[in-house]
Amino acid sequence: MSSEYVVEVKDLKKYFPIKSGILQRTVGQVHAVDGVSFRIKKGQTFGLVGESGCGKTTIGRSILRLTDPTSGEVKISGMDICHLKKKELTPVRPKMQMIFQDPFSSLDPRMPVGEIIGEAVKEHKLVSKGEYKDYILKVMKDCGLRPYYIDRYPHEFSGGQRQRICIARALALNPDFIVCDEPVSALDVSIQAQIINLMKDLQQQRQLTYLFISHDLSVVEHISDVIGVMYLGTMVETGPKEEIFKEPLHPYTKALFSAVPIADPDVKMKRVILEGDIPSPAKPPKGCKFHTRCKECMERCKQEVPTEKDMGNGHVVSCHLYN
Amino acid sequence: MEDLQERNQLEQDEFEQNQVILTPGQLVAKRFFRNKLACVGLGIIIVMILFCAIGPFISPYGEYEIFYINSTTGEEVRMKEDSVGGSDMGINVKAPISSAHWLGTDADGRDVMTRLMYGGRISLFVGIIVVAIELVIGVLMGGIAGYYGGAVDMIIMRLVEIFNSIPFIPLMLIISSVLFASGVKPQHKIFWIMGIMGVLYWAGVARLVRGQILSLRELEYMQAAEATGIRTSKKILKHLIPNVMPIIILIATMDIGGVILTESVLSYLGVGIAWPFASWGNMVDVVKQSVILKNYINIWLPPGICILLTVLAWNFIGDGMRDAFDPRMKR
Amino acid sequence: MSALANKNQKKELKEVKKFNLRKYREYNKMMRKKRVPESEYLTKMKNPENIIEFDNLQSYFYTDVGTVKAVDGVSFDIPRGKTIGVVGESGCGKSVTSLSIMRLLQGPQGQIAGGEIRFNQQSTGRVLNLAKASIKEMEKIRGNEISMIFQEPMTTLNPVFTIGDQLCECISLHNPQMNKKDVEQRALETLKMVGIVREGILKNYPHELSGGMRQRVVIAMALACDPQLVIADEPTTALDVTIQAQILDLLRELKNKINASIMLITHDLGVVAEMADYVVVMYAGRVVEQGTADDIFHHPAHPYTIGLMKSRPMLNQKVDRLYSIPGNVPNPVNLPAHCYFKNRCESCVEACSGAYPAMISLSETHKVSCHLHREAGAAVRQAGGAKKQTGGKQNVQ
Repeated sequence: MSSEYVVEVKDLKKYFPIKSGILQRTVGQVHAVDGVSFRIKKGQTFGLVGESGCGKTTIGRSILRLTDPTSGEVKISGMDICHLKKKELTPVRPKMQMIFQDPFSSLDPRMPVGEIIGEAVKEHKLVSKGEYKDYILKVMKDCGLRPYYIDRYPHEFSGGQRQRICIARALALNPDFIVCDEPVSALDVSIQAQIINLMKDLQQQRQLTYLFISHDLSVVEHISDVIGVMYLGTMVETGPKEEIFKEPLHPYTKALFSAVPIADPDVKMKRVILEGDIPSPAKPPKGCKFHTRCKECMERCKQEVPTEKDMGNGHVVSCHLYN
Repeated sequence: MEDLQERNQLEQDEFEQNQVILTPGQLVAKRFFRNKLACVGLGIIIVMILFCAIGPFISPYGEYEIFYINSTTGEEVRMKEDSVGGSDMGINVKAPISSAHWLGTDADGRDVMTRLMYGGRISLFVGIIVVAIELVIGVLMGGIAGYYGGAVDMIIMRLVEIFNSIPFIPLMLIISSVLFASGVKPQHKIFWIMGIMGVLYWAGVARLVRGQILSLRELEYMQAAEATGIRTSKKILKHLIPNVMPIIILIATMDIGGVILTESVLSYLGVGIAWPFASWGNMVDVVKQSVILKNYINIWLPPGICILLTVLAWNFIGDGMRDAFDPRMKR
Repeated sequence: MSALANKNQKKELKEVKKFNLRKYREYNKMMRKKRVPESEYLTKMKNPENIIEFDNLQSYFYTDVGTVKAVDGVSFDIPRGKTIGVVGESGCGKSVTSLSIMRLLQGPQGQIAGGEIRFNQQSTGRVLNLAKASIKEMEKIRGNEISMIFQEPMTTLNPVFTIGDQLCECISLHNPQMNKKDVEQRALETLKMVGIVREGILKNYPHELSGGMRQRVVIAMALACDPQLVIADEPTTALDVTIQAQILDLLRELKNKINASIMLITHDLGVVAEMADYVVVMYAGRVVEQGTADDIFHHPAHPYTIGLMKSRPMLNQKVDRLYSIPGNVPNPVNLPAHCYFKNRCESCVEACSGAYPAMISLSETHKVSCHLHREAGAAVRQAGGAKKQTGGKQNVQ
């Protein structure tokens, strides 16, 4: 069974301590990720949507052990990542990679492109010395980079090309699984499409599995197979793309979907406009975390935390309305 | 349509390949040399170094050679010559500017020009060595504090605060008298002073480097290096150090001027370079005598100008460097 | 060979520097001039219904590598009480256009090099050319008759003053006759208008508010003096989708209430479609297409506009592969003589290698700058401005 799923996340939690005073005593905790579970099948894309501060980036980082999760379990290709020591982690690293949001700060300004891409290849000795240069050139070509870019420095490239370099860096290690943390949101619309297409092509060629984190619903809808909607550190709804977009169940999902502006002046959607703001993750509300803004809030929502309920076809929702 | 795309791509390739590519280092150099003041500063420093390094070989006189004068004939006599010792021999003090002594002689009858060269050697040497010491300690401590964080960071930063609150001048006065009492030779005293200054000055460097590393560590390319599984040693060597380099160079250039200034203050107070050795600071120190201040400008003004020019030049270079490293800082 | 090229390059750079210096000097001289005679900047509107008319506006940046023509010959109108959406990618000059109205370009590098911005000043009944108006005149207009909403609410508000301080200062500055109590009353009213009815809000500091609240305060500040024109520069880009929906809703509601024009600058076609009556599409410093929202979204004519629409994934619309415009935006220094979009365009014709295409009217409202539509434009002219017939059809693929 486990071979079918490349990534399995079970009850992942990440709390950041809030320290204050001269003694740096912990006075509270930010519940960045509060018990999230999901699985990603091989060759599929899992789209993680949510607003800023809902913990989606923290999930991505915890899966790759860029931050140590507080508790929970993360399995990548059947291997438990969470409890590996730092040293044991190094040989596993190439199998899981990350593409970052900001193409301007994710490339070392003092390294030529070839070295940026090849640094880790050398480190892990993936190819022999004789093949090294050809290998780098091939990866660059796959990512739509011209061969003569190899000696140039990042400052000469535009955002789109930089993002291609980032993709090439991740791809050079021949990973199974890539966490894409808002890879297109810093780019212009016409460049976004290029990068999204590139990522889709590469996925098909190499059977890659993506965790695609974004706040942009239309992009997520385009690229994902399965979608998870997050609110304040918890997953409120997951399910196949078609299911979720056809029939969003959770009130938050509904509001989120209806908030997206449509590029057609004639379509006037009936908006579900949420009142108020997202509560602070340091003091999450009791019961269902969404109840402070929910239009269909019941007495029960304020007390009990809703459990996940499978509505069929893998469409899972955590809401008292469906219990 | 494919054709057109291809053609456009080729066109662009050709255009791009013909562009002059510059490494980040070359870019910095280009921006630096575009700055006129910085170039002037660099010029002054080069002239100063040549003057101090080569000058003494050309000058016919020694650093603390005293000139005598035959009071009856008015003829100048050098120390080496046998005729010294006659009853009509006096020391040729405060001689006016002449072809033999371009800047005259000082209150002890030594050639000012020659002492200026030797003094410059000491001043520049002190500046460079002190900065080197403070950089080595500061970068190391700051680097450790910034990279590892936690308790190590806490201890080092408290240490920095302690060092920052030591009053420098009184401490130097005490140390100087201790050195004098324990019979350290004057020619060795200079090394003691350099060492102590270096050890006292590292705190500022450490704080700056730590801050820089803290902000670099959060940048996404460091995260990417972590995610690709690069060794810690390589991460520090290939990513951190090259990116901290600008700030290190910046500190170095900015600090050399300050150290030269401090050294002259110490020498002026009589704590620094001891008699009979020359430094620009202790050459200026003669202005304490109002007669010299009033009547013998040729004795104290040249070393003063040298200090001013050198410190100014280092500051120009530092400014130019800062603008070259980060063009956004410029207005 | 390369040494020669290098030498030539150096010579060129020197010339650029000289040229820039001259421009800087001219600028400083202009800035120092205290009194500008009214006759120099009083003009007439083409259409008194408009509040702003851009006429061939040119805003250049004189940089060390050459002149960047950030805005190069932009002409469009903002009618009274309507919303104009300006769309384009980063660096296309949309923000520079708005800064030009306010005369907030970073001088002396950035200057308005030519053209007119005619402003129909309601309070005095005069028509001013903002490109030439005196600084004193501009100070009266800024924040009072034309106000601006910026992208980042945190940096727009001063963190060391309370919301009340900042809002009241803004109001009393433009209404010196009001006493303190009235000003405060007015501030509360404005906040109420943007949907903030919280006790003690005037005593809050910006950091105590959330992003959406802050943006509301910024909008309140912009509206505090009943402006005739509100320039909103990416007002919702820094906000979350649900908050964005709140703010857009608010802006729409307010527009009807205050009867002001809005110039909405954004890269998000969705936002424009929701808000704008008229749309202007910019590319590399020029307007490539303009028209009503219906013209642009249902009958796009310029290949760039079409590409932009197709490259954006839409909710509930399945496409296997996104259309992507190949290549990158051209280097803003030394732009080519031909159409700037030529290298990325898939429907190039021979004429595209020639001169930059002129603006062609496809209908009364719809204008496009593309060689593909020359005949269509001619037809419209012949028919004496008959309703658009060909504009959209050509592009249904």
